[in-house]
Amino acid sequence: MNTKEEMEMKVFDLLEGNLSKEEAMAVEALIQRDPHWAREYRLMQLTYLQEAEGEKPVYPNPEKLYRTAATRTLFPRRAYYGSAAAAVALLAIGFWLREPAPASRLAIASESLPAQSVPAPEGRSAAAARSAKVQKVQARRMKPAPMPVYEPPRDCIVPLQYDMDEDALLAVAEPVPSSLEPRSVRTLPLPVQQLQLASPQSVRFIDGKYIPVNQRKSLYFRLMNQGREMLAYVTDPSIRFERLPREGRIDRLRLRIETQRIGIIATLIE
Amino acid sequence: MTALEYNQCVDQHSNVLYRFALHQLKDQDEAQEIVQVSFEKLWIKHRDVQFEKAKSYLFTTAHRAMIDFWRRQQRTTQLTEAMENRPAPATPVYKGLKEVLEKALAALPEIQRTVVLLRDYEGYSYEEIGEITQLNESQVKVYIFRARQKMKEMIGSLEAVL
Repeated sequence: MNTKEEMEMKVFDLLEGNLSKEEAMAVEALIQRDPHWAREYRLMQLTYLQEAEGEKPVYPNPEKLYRTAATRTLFPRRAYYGSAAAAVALLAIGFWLREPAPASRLAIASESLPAQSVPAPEGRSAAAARSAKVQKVQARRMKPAPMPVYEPPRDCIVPLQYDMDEDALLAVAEPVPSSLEPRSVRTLPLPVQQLQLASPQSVRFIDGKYIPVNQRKSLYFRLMNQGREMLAYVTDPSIRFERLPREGRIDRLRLRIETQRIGIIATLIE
Repeated sequence: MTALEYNQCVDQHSNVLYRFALHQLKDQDEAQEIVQVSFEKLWIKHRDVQFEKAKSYLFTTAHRAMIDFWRRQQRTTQLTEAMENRPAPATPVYKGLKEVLEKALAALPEIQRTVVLLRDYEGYSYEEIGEITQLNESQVKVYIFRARQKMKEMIGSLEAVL
């Protein structure tokens, strides 16, 4: 005897097409016999969602999603691999120049010393030490100055700025809420953690330089405007970071979002 | 996948992906954002994703993006509710089966709603839904069953009204 749950599962399986022909016939026979299961079957049937062709919403402007190979591939793949190989080769040559083989090291040591002072076998360690010192000095001379890399502090504040062409504002297709006029959100505190970028790997903080982050078609961020929390949305942004050193205090990062084709949509979070 | 195939994916899947997101989120802007993010990620990975697998990849990405959205929304809602001390919503008045179904669908847990939408609107198999939602086939089947049971109960309770 089937329990209620098993029978409900059978009705479900019948509608889902999970039953064999024989099983399906048995369940259908029961449904025809028993008004309770007939009702269950009918109700379950109603849970299948259907969408009328005319009611199907359409994604607006799919052409904005189109890409060409050039928009992503900054360098051709072959050139990319070629330059990677060249970089590896250069590094290898650099290491080879910096770390001469023991034989050549001895040669350098013997060249740098007068003939009469060539050490006896027991004085080899002193010569090797001197040669190592020479190597160290040479290596230090050859070593390029380290590139200053700016590590943003975890709790730093990013004042948000964006510059907009006011003429472009008039051409905006989407309605811009009056509460989000560009002038009213000139500078806003925005914790770094809340900034969401689709290509975070392209964001690099390097001391004293603007780094363009133009891989992204859109950007949205959470902000406080006139005491209300909002999600703001910018299309085709040009994003740059600027380090603002402050005496005796944590440096600040300034995020500058520029957009030629203005498109900013704000959604109130309620 | 080539750039050309990627653009074909836009033609073939942008509408279905948009509908999927719109059914889930009930917000056009958010649904558009989900579509945009999904295609952005597909473009980033387009060299690694096969053209045949692109639809599944898009739905998987959209599903994950929506989970993130729900989490954010949950935090915001909790905060707002705590601040405002909202009154309980009034008893809803339904006009027809379609509206009842929409309300029933909206009342389902996110994962159940997702599997039902993928099953009914996209016609995905249990296996394909499992790939998208990171569930196994049995779990997918159980979630669909439970979702239909809940929807059935809601329709059944309102049958007399309708």
